[in-house]
Amino acid sequence: MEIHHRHLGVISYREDDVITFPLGLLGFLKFKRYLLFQQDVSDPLVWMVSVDNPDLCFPLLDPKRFCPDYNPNITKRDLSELSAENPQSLQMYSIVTILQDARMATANLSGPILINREHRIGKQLVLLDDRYSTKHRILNG
Amino acid sequence: MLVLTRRLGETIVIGDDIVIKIVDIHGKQIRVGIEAPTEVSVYRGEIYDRIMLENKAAAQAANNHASLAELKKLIASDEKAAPASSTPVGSNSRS
Repeated sequence: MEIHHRHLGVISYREDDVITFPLGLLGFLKFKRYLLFQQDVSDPLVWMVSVDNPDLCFPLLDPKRFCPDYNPNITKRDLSELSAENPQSLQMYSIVTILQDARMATANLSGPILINREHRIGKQLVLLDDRYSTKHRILNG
Repeated sequence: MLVLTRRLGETIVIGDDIVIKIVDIHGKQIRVGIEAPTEVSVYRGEIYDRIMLENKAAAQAANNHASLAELKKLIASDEKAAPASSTPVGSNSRS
């Protein structure tokens, strides 16, 4: 199967590459199936592309790259929704908002994306934690 | 918007399987209990709004490929200057 993306080009995938977000993403609740895609193995950005709406995609970054102490609370309910036994079995990403000026790009630390790769389930957490903001500057200076 | 007046202990039923109950009233704060099936998410409004708006901004901004290319370069040079410990990002690479 293929997705034709305006900028990312043709993305070939198998059904078992698809990650399902049973609750979708806030603001996009209808779209529940995504692919994770890297343009290059060394690329820090991971693309989360909607299978059902190829114009919909989000750039993701590993939050530990720019916030090494990032430690959001993952609840038992979160783990159960993700069919995970412990937080270590999950991959965590932040959605990046890119601005005209790349130096001002921000990451949403209040709404991390958690993925259980083995079971191909994902969820966007909604954190109540005051320490983290929706607009965390990625770059220093 | 449907506006209903409820007293302490009274409920509101939405559809077949969502129940809202006024659990406690204390000064200006009202404790609201919510029963909903697991496939329905329940969020505090202002937090939902913040994250929802940021998701929309990010999806919109994702078209900005020139800036994204620039960001990747900046991340690479930022990390050369002050390497942080990074967890490996495993994902499928597709051409």
